[in-house]
Amino acid sequence: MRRALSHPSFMIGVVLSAAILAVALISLVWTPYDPGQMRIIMRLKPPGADFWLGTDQFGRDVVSMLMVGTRNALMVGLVAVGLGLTAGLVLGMLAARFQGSFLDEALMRSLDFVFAFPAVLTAILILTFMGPGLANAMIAIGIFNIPVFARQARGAALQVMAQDYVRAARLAGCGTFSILRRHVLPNIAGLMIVQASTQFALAILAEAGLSYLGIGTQPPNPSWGRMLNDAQTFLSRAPLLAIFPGAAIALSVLAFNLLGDGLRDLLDPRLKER
Amino acid sequence: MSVILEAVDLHRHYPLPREGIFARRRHVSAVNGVSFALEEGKVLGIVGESGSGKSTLARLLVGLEAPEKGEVRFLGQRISGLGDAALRPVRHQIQMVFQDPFGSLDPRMRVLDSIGEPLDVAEPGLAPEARRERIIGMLERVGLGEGALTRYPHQFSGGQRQRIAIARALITHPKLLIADEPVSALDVSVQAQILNLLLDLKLEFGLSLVFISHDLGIVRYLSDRVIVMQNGKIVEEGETEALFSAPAEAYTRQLIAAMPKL
Repeated sequence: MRRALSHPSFMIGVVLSAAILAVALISLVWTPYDPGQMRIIMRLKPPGADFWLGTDQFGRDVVSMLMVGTRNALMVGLVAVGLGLTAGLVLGMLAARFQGSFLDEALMRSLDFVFAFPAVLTAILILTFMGPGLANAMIAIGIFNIPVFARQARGAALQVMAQDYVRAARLAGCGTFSILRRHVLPNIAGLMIVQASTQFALAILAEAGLSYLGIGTQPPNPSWGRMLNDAQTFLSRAPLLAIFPGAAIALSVLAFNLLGDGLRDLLDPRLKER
Repeated sequence: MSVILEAVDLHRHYPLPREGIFARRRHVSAVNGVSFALEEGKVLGIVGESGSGKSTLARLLVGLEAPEKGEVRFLGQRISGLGDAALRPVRHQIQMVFQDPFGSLDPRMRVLDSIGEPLDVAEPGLAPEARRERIIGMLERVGLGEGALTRYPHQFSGGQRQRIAIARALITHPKLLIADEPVSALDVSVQAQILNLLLDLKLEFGLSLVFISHDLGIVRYLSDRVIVMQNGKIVEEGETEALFSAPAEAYTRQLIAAMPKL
């Protein structure tokens, strides 16, 4: 615990992530304005007392849009990472348990196939089939997360299963699934949490990318990625319109990466105090 | 005296990594035609240098691995080559203590649950209170107190961990215990304590013991019979005193000559 407090990047990550989460939660009950409300006379206002970060080309309040965008970004991260983590864990542990079998080979090679394509390209491909939208974007990002988690789960599970305590559990008469649940899962959980934090940052980035391309979050639901795209047209007249969502994306990616890095250090058993 | 454990012509080899994709896969044979019988209540010592196949033999005897050829019989019944499910009824009668007490206890499991694990499988209907009582009794028997229950393995020394591992092995009252180098990872001062504990428990529980070690002094101290292994084969076998005082084979004489004299 004391080590966590004195770990600078972990603490910065925690504070930033908590702030982002707080903004997302507040947006559920309160935003300065309705983020979808247009006021053409107020269009492209610079930051000021009425509109803290100004307005966009339709006169919508940037602060309100950013806040709801935060909520969307976190939701995408949560669902996509949740999907990837759950499926990846199950597949990875199965592959590890039946290491060298046909099942293992079939699973890992088909995941390699998904892995071979650049992540965002995979998502674009999936969205072309399923149609654009926030829900489909979450699933698409989740799908390209599966191989990442599955590979790591398999590797870590293999390491755990070579330990004598797993042999002892077999001698105790524990079955395959009880060993996976009681011994393998708790011992690889730390590693998977670290990975989840990093993937969370990547998922937010991917959602922004997909929305920028117009196949992620659909209007009028605000998204950082689409705000960037909209701002592009007015870059010379209102450069701040692009800076704010860009900063939001950069900051949240930074936050979850720092969190992941910090967790990796803190959970590393070699550094653990005895 | 009846025979509790019998090994009949056991063979086990492992594939070596391929040297090229078209190269033929080669094998190293770890156990190569090992046969012996252990009488109930006796201690069988197995000695040999590293790589002589002792640990592989241990895994074959407890059914963690299956031999390619030959069979292991427990109380006259074949147990080798059975699946985990088919083995379950005899599992709690054959237990094992491992060499490395840092790897044989799950770092994320409390001592209570580590020791309780075999019990949960053998007697699933046991009430939590009775389970706890049994575990405390066993902990006290191996020289640890009730305070150990809720602690984690990293809070114990190597010797204490080995005591916990022994408690886990004996909680279901097995008939046969395979000890694979149980003291070689421990300090010399702790070794004697653990060995004496094993001997006491053997008498108390009526255990038959297979004791695997590269330390001839320890094997001589503990065993009724000794098997000397080299390259996966038995070189010599005999009653302990006869074998140590008049070794028949050159390899055995070499091993004995290499023992440190105190």
